[in-house]
Amino acid sequence: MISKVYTILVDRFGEDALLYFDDTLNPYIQVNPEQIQMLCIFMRYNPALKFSFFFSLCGVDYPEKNQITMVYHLFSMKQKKMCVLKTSVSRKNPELESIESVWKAAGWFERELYDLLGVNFTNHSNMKRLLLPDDWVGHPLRKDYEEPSFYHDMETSRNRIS
Amino acid sequence: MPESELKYLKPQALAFKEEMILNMGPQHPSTHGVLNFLVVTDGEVIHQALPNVGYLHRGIEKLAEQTSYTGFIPFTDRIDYLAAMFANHVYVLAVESLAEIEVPERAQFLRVIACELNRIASHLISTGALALDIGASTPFVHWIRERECINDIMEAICGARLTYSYMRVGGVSRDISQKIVDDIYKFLDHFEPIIDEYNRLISFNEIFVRRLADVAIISPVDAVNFGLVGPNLRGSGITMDIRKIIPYSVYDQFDFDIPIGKGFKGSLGDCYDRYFVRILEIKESCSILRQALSQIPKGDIKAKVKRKLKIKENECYACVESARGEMGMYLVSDGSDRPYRLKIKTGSFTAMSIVEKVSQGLMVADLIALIGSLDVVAPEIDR
Repeated sequence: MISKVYTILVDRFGEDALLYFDDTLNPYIQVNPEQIQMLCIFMRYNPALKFSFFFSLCGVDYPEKNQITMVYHLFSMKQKKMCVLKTSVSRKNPELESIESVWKAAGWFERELYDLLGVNFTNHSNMKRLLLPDDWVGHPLRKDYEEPSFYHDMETSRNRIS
Repeated sequence: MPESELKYLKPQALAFKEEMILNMGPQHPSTHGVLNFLVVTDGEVIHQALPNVGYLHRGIEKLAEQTSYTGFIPFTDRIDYLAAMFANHVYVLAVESLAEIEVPERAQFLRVIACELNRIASHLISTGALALDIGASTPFVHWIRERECINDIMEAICGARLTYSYMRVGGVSRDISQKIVDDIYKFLDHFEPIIDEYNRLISFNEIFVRRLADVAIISPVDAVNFGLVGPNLRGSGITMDIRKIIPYSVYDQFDFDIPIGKGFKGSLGDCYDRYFVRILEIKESCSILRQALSQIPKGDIKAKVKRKLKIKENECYACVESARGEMGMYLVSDGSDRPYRLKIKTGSFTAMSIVEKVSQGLMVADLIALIGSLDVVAPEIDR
């Protein structure tokens, strides 16, 4: 089913930009980070695809591959199917184009990712921390994150009884 | 609200002479948890309302990476304390599809029964609290009384009244006896006529209708664009229900309708539509409960699962229709005994992001109605 979506996408974007994987439970399409916005616009408005529902956006940190993988879950009411898009950015300077203009719902997901994983989304209307305080140091969902022991002179860890 | 927040206000905000900044929350009785809004008002009219979330951020997604697959189930209760069963359900569904565990049919029926009871309980709080927020305190007390019956049934089913942890990977924690089945039937016989009574009391009450009808209209286009889910999306007239569209568990065996907003008392997608869709959903849940109770098969309640669960490298996205709409979990495994990454997508999170757009031009009192009708639960936003 997703392979059909893949053939439509390949017709438009060429085979170099997209890779299709079905070794996981939900097959996914790997995309170039530069093309993510164009691809999302195409997927949302193309009459054969119509992926109008934005389910979720997740970032996964892979320190050994030195990259952060973004996972987009889209849903098409027309085909009653979900499509998974993946794209990877470097861990050192993660930057990606925002898709807030395609689905407004993505706006807060991107802010959350900026907050917890430190991915910078360009052309976002309000790129700042969402859940943590503005002056928090670090991005907790990174695998090498170490919790600061003090925040504004307050101890963050509990005194353990051992 | 910190000073730094002020620079994100729109340029035209604060240009009017009479404008003032009002902090609503974090300890405001109508915010259903710890939520803060920075409201720029001109007299009674809101120019901009900026939601400020994060007060209840506990880092559940990070905790998942440090906990074993089975040990994480109690944490899922704390994502949405009014509808804990759904978070339980979606998490075990994700783990089961990754570990390729077949769940016995009886267990699936028990899950559906528990979930639908929980949906009724959650909608009772949601609709009752909406009435309470806009000034009618009697209906809330009526609904709390009915919810107490459900809490008692839940206590008999799983031993807890709020944080259930009823689901297990591969099944449920305990079986239900014939007495509990009779109790649920008795509750339904008692409860279904009360819905009509409640409708006479508040749903068709002229004052209540006027407070909600034509207020904070969300168009179907906006609802999809902002990723609204569940009753909020259906209130805008879009037939989208995960139970029908991506059937999970045994929901495909039941016959039920998806109520959608039709502009019952005003325009399509106003506060009243979102409210009334929930009332209609309570009726559908009662019908699902009756069907499930009559068809419940005999058999095991739990599949054989290894004590220490290790899942090879894989990933999946599972979703259920929670009381607040689609709740999804994206689970990545890496071969160890704990999740590599868990992403929790909740309905309140996206519902909260639309507040800024819809609230422009509302009265301050209508903002309360909007938040109540969206049925946001703060811990679900922040996780």
